[in-house]
Amino acid sequence: MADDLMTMLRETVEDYRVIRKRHGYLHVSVPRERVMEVIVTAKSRCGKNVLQLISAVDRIERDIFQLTWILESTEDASIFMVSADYPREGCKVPTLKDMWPSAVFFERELREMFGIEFPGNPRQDEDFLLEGWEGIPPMRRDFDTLEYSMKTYGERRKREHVDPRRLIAEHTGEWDTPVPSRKEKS
Amino acid sequence: MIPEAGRTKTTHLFFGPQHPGVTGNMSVEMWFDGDEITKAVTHVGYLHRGFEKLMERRLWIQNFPLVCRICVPEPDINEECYAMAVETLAGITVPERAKWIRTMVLELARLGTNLMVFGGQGGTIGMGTAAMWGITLRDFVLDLFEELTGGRVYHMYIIPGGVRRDLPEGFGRRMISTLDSIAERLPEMDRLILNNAVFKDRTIGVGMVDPAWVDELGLVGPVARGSGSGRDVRKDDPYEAYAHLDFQVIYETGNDIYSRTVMRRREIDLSISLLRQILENMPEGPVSTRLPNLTQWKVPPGEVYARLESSRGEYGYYVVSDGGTRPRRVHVRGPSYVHATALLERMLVGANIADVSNIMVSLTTCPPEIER
Repeated sequence: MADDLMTMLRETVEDYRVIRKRHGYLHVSVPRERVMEVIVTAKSRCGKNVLQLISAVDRIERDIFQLTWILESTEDASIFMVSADYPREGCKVPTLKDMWPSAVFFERELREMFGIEFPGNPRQDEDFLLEGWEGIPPMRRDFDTLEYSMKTYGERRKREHVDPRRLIAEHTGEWDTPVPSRKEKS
Repeated sequence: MIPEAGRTKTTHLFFGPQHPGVTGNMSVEMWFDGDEITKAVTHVGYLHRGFEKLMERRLWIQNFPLVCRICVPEPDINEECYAMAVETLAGITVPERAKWIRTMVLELARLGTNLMVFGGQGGTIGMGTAAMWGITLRDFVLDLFEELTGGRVYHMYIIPGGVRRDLPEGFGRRMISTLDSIAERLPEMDRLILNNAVFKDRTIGVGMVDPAWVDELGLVGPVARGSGSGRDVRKDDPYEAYAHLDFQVIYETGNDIYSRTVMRRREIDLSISLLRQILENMPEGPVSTRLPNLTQWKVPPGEVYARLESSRGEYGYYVVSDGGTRPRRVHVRGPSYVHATALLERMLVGANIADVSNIMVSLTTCPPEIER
């Protein structure tokens, strides 16, 4: 099946790059203008009929989001992964809801966690995991977890420590249960 | 929703997140016409602990005690999946004995989970005894885990390059004895659950999963195999020692809750058979490979999707490394992601309110897999 995919890729896109290839597993990177064509053709011609996952990686140093679609074939259980780079600012990616209804949920999550828009997905603005989230989407690399934590929950209260010897001393009036320090023990 | 003629009122109800019939902390918002559901929307987010974000801030090895926390009933699949991904990226070879021990651990975990779900399926329709028996049998499996790994729930046993330590002396003998006692009690559970007229009434023809949905929604595991699909990663893309084991993929064609319950019951038998085979054929040898300094360990840049068959279906980890001491991205793809959202919302339409938890347990929806 992977060979069929290679033929399809050669015919569909000229400049694709193989990221990883082994028996029953192919991961390629294609230009974003051709990615939907590759996915549609992989489903119609190469039997990649199941959408397993849509994922994103924030490549902040290159100012892009790398999106990856993981497709599977029910016939031979082979995996086909397609990646494409999209600009971070105003990132808009076509939806796959008409091909796979489950894409609605993967896209909702990416919208919420990375701020990637999927025009055409009717539920993309519904809250998924986070309710009423404001500010930078949390899975972006420039989201400062410490700053968020300090702003939302404040400084962590220091743990109160009670020395049992003090309680005994308060009760008996004297330090009658000396506990040897580690140095003394040795 | 447009009410039918003569009906003017619909009821709006939140099911969960705190409800004994809901599998984990998630809620389903439902609209009823009488007691029939006309629309259902899944709400998650009650358990979000930011695992994936945390993993980007921790060393490769520090993520091992973390990933297992994603799934309580079956944590080992996370350790294994993450280990498989890291080993592929770092080019680590796992010793043969470690592969067999890992397969044993995965099957033990599957056995424990299926025992709990098999009993729990009866529990959802008021058969509390069945649920208790299932939990009891699972406890025998947890005893084995405690002996092997030191932990009953979270094991942190599978590490990159192998497993933490070899089997204790006499472990195989005790495991066989436990498997025998579980197998001995299973016919009683069959009589209690599968041969029960009430259970059949409540499950046959209820919670139908159309075989066409398997490809359309990407259904996996017992949910897909209960609808006639033959997908099983153990057979389709054998990992660890599964290629050396003799077994057939189990599937049923009833499409309903009863079929999925029978599937799980047969999976229990299969796990017991596989565990016996593993013990008989396990080779001798080392159980782990020497790893580099773990605080300075840099995994070569690359991307990989590792997958295996959990008790709920295909489980995958998409791991990206940029060559640093920490993962660049880890994306967990659990089977419940689709089962508890797209599938559940579709299945519940037309169902009766009394069957909601019955349907949810038959899908073994696990919210932490959705939220990570």
